[in-house]
Amino acid sequence: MSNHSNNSEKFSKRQALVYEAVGARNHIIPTAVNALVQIETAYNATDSARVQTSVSLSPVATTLERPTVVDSPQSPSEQVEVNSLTESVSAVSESTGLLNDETTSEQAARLANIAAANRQVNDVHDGLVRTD
Amino acid sequence: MLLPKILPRNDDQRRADAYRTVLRYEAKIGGQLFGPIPAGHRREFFCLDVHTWIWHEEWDDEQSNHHVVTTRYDVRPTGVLKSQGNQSYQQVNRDELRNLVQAARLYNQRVAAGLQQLLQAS
Repeated sequence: MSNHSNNSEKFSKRQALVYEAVGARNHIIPTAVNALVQIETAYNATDSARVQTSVSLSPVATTLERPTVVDSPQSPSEQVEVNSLTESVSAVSESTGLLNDETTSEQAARLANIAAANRQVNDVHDGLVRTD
Repeated sequence: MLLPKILPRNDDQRRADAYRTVLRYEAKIGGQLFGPIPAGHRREFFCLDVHTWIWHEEWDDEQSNHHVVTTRYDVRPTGVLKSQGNQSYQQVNRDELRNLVQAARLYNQRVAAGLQQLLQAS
């Protein structure tokens, strides 16, 4: 009888220790998983921050208003663009009668400057995107 | 058993034994997370503590050479470092981190259910 009582005491003690170990593990494992998930979240956040940076930099780049390359030789594609801009300005002046020839050429030069500035901005933006 | 009578075990030792039993049980469940285990392989995967995950694999090749590879993943605030055998620590890349997180999540689910069964059986 006492032997049986001893065995059952040992069994309940062992059971209590297993319960204790399981309780500890039930706390440790979710904490460990959470630590890993946080690392992964931080990793993903770093990546999206990198994308955000390239996006947020582009409006800054568009503030370039005075290009310094206005007098540089024009490439054939630039020439086509300037010509088409000049033509569109001429078309507007002809249809509205509001602009004389002098104004039209000033307007065309200004538009050419803007086109050159836009190209520069696009190049800067492309460069940022490529870098990132 | 004669040994316990010669070397009486105190509560701390019993507690450590119970903890190891639970850990071995988990390691077995963890080893099954990566698909079928090839014949002759022994694979274990388990959470050692809140900052450490272990992947252990043993097998014999065709020439009966025994191979043992233990990979340790240390979770630090700055990232996860991995060491394998005697190699130095290296940063875990993005893909491996994703796999580790997935395995850890699955481990949490399977082990939680497994430990319940263990308690019922004990």
